[in-house]
Amino acid sequence: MADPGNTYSDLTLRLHALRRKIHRLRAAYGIPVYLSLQLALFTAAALLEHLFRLPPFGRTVLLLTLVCGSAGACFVLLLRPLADALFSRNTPSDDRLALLVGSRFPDIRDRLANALSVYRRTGPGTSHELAAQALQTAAGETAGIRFTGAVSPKEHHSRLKRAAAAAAAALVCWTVLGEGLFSAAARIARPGTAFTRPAAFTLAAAPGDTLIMEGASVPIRAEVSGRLPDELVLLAKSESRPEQRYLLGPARSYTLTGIRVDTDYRIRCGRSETPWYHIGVIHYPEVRTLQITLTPPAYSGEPPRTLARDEGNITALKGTRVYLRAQTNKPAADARLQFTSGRSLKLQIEDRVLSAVFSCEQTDSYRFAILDSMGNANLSPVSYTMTIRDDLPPVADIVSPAKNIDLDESMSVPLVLTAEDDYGLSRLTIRYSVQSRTVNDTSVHRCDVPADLADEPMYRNVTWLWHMGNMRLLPEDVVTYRFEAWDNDAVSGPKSGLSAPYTIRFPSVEEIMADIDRDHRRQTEDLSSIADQGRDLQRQLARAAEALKAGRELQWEQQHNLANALQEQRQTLAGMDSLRTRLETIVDKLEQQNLLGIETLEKYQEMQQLYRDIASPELEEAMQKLQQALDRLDPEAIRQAAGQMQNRQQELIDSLDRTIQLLKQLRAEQQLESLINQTNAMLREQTGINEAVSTQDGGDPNRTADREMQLGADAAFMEEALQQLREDLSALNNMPPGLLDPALQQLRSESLDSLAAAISAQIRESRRSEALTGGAEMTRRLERLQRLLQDARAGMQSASDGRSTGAARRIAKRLLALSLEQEDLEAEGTAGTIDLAENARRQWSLKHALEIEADSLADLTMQAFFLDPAVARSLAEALSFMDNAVTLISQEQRSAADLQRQALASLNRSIVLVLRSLQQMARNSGQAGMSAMEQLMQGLEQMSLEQMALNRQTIDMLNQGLLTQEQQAVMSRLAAGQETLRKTLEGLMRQFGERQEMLGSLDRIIEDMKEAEEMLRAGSGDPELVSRQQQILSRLLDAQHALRSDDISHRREAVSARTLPQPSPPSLRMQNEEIRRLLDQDILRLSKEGFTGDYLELIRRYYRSLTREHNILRKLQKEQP
Amino acid sequence: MRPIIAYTAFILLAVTGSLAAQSGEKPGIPAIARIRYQGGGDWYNDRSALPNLCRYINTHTLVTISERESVISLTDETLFSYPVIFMTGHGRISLTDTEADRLREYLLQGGFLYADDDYGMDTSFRETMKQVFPERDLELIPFSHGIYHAHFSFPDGLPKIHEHDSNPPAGYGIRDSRGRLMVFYTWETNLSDGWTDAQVHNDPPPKREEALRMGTNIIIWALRQ
Repeated sequence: MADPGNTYSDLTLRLHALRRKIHRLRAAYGIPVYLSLQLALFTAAALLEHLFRLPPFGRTVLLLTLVCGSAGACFVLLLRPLADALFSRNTPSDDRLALLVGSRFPDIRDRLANALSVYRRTGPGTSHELAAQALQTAAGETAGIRFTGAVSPKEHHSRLKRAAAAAAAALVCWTVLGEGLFSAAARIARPGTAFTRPAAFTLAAAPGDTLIMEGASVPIRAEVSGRLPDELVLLAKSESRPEQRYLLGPARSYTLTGIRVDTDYRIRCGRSETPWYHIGVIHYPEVRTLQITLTPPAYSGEPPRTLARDEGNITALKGTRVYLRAQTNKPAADARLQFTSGRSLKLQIEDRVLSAVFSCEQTDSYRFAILDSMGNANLSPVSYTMTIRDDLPPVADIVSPAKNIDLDESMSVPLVLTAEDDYGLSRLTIRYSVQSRTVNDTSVHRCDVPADLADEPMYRNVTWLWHMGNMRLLPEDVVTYRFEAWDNDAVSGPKSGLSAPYTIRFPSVEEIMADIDRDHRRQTEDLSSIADQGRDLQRQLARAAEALKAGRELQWEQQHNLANALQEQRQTLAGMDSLRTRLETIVDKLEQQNLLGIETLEKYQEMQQLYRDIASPELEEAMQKLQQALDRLDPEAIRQAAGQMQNRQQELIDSLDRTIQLLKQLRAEQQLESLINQTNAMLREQTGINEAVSTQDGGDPNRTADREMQLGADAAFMEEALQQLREDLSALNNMPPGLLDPALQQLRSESLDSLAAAISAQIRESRRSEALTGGAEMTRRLERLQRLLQDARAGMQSASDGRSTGAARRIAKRLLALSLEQEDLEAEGTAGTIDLAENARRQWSLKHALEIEADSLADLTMQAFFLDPAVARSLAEALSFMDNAVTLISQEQRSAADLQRQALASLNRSIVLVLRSLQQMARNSGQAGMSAMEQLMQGLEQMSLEQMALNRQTIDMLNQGLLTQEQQAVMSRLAAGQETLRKTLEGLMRQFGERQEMLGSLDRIIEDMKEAEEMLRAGSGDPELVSRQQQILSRLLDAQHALRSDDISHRREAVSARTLPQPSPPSLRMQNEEIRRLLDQDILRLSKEGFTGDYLELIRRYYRSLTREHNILRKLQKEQP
Repeated sequence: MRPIIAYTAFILLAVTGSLAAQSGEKPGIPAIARIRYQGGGDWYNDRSALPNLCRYINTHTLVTISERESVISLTDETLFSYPVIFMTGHGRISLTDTEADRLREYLLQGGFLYADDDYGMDTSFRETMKQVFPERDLELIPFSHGIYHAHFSFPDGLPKIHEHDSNPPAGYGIRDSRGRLMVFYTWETNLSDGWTDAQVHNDPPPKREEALRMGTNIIIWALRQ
């Protein structure tokens, strides 16, 4: 058995180790527990103070409690375990430790503790061996047991957890109520101090005083603590605005936006408010005032002008100098003008004043770029426009002639020109080019128009005679010219404006002849219409005379119509001067072109005389008398004047007819002459072509070939013209048929155009020898044609001369015979060797015979232009004297001898005139004929006149009451006259049978004539006879009117039409150039009406867009199918 | 007694005078003149045409124009007093150089010529217009032009009144440099025949109405320009 003492020592050592472990654990865990407990105590104390705000006594007690508690906890948890651990104190005791072991190791239970206890109590009364044995047993049982295992750190964990939890709670409290707990702790630390109770809440504003850039926003925030008694209100004020109130919402903030001036603000809650805080504003640099002066370029003549203050938009001419001055709100460190085009112009800076000088060169826009000393730039600078105003080109116009014209012999053209510009003109020119058939020149030439542009340089009206004599123009050359005006633009260079183009043509002889032919035709037509008018008046006169002789008064309408017709004729005849002037123009043209031969000139001179004689003084006097009679409404005066007027009117008509025939004759001759000239020209051209072909360097063969083709075309044209002339000549009855046939035949058979085409092809193919052969043949054919045409001309001359002179001689011979008879009669009448009845009968017979000759002569004067028109007047006088003589003789008045003498004188005068005319006969007498229509018209007119005369004589007879035997004989003669008329009418109807449908009621007229004949033969004095004859006359007149009215086409009908749908014609267009000129003119006009520059610029833009739109529309129209 | 008689006479005269003034045609402005020309054409054709047209215009529009026909020549000094002149006929027109110049001046200064081919005037009228305006041509007027819609609407152009050569009717015009219609010429329709008294051509009433309506358009257009 082991020593019990050792066993006991061992066991106690083992227990001591356990003890040390316990001490260590207690010390180790005691520190954090103590700290946690300390924290919890302290937190609880602070919490208590924070919540209840204890009075000093309370805080004192609390502090003492805290201190005591801390001390106690420190002793228990910290110091004692440390002391135990450091000083190995024997606590807990061995017995407790043994019990602890025994509790930890159930196998041992308390045997160890008992064993130790027993051993220690060994003394008297106790068994030492038992104790030792117990000790030994206990030792043996615990030999494998580690006593330090009886305690573990885990036993301290729960304490530690609780302490940690308390510490955590304390920490949470400190986290949540940190400030309050600190305050409470501070108060606990000074328990004797009486602290005032803090306010319920705190209020502060953020960001406080601040500095911002102009226009920035500032968010104002309220910093509060505690319970707010009221809502938060932000108050803001500035110099420019009174105090404003803003409610801060739940977010306790409000943003002041766009602050431009210094602003003060504070926050108020209930009765509490923060102090005023200040927001300072820093301003951006900006332009405050602007002044611009514009100096236009010198050439414009415009004075400098200053724009309105602060006006920065510039509208000016190109080259205008701009003086700019601006004032800023603060000194600038750098300032420029930034142009949209990219240009940048540095401004001169003098404190707050900026200035610059620059020139307007292009449309642009600019803005100020300013930097202040802090580097702040101006915000959103205004963009100013700089618009270049167009210096418009001038508007040039040709006022006269303002149409395409032909150049006359003076080789000069008077021009009236106007030019207008907005700023001034510098030069006026005529720009022209010459298009020639023979010379290929497309160059453009200019000649200056002299004009003094110093005065009123913006508008010029120039009259200038353009001499074109030195331009070496050839016939058919065309000069295309335009008036060009240049402005005085010294900046961009002068611009020009052009007028509309016109042409001046140098007419060829053929053209002149065609022109003359046209004039001839118009003259003929004019004279024909005058003649028609005259016939209409003649008919009205006849009706009036008939009515008056029948004892009826003229109705108002008749008088009115008569007066109107008379007035119209006077007006028409007043215009004869213009016809004569036109005739003189024709003569001048012919003379200028050396186309006027002596014979032709004499014919024209005769025609001019005819023109003068048409409106003879006698006619004028007769018209005057009639007009006066109509004005006075004097029936007797009207009757007399009408009678006289009728004679003069007939003379007028005859003169007109004669003139017309002469014109037609002349026209035919001119046409033939023109053809001969054309043939000559073709010959010359062919000669030139032959030369060009024969020479080595005869020029461009294609050009020569073209010339030959043109010649062939001319030959074809000539054939047509010759055919037309042939038809015209066939209407002239005095022309032998087929006068032009040989020439026409030659043209047709020899096919000049085909030959020309062949020659042209040979020239192009360089087959020179064949071309030369062909050219020679062409020359021969042209020469032959020339001869034939010249022969035709000679034939024309001789044909007209021969027939007319023969007829004139025969008439003269018969007149002479009548004159001898008249002379005998007059002598017998004077001698009284003849009784009145015989005298009257013979005089009447002579008169009748003279009437026949007068008619023949009237017919001849239409054809024989060499006859003096005075012949007809003399014959008419003779007839009148004879007629009056018959009347007087019938009334048994001896004074008839005087009349007979006068009749003789007139008759003799007529004969003399005829003979003289024969002697002075013009070489170009001819017998002009009339177209079928004209013949028909004339036939009807002649019949009307004769019927009129017949009616008058019938009325005269019937008015005399009971008819004497002589008068009945007269009636028989009248019946014969009526029969003659009827047969003539029947002849007309046969001749113009194809036009019968146009003549309508001629059959009825013939029937009426037959009835009138029978009544006349019966010697009936029935008034029905007069009515019947009047009816005949009316129907004849109506037939003429129907002819005239129907004129060309018999298909004219006043038939109501059916609707014919059709598409609309295309839209009307104006030429671009026309529009541009109109717009430029309008703009020029508007610029003078005082519109401001900007408004004028708007107008210009509008017009420009109009032009663009028109161009687009035209383009679209062209593109449309 | 005397004053009573004088007063009664005055009243009677006044009433009579006013009644006389009321009767007959309205005074109106002299707007249209018929042109008398040389050349042989019957310028005087259909004398009732213009008075009837003027009466129709006075009835159907707010314009009041004289219903009395004025006939003048181109050399007449009153030419420029008439805003509208009228030419018609079947035949030839011949103008002297003076007349042509005067007509040109009249038209360029704002006058208006309406010409109606009564059948047969076409060639001569075209030559005459070339004489007056060598630099301008007669151009077809589209149906959209205002003259077809000035008072009554004619969306399909001219109505065809008389048959003539059975061609579709055509309206030609000459404009000045500003586009103003100076001359209006109707062909293959014969509007003026439709204006005459009904018994002259015995046209159906609808045709006459069409003619008068188109005539109204022409005059109103001319006066409005």
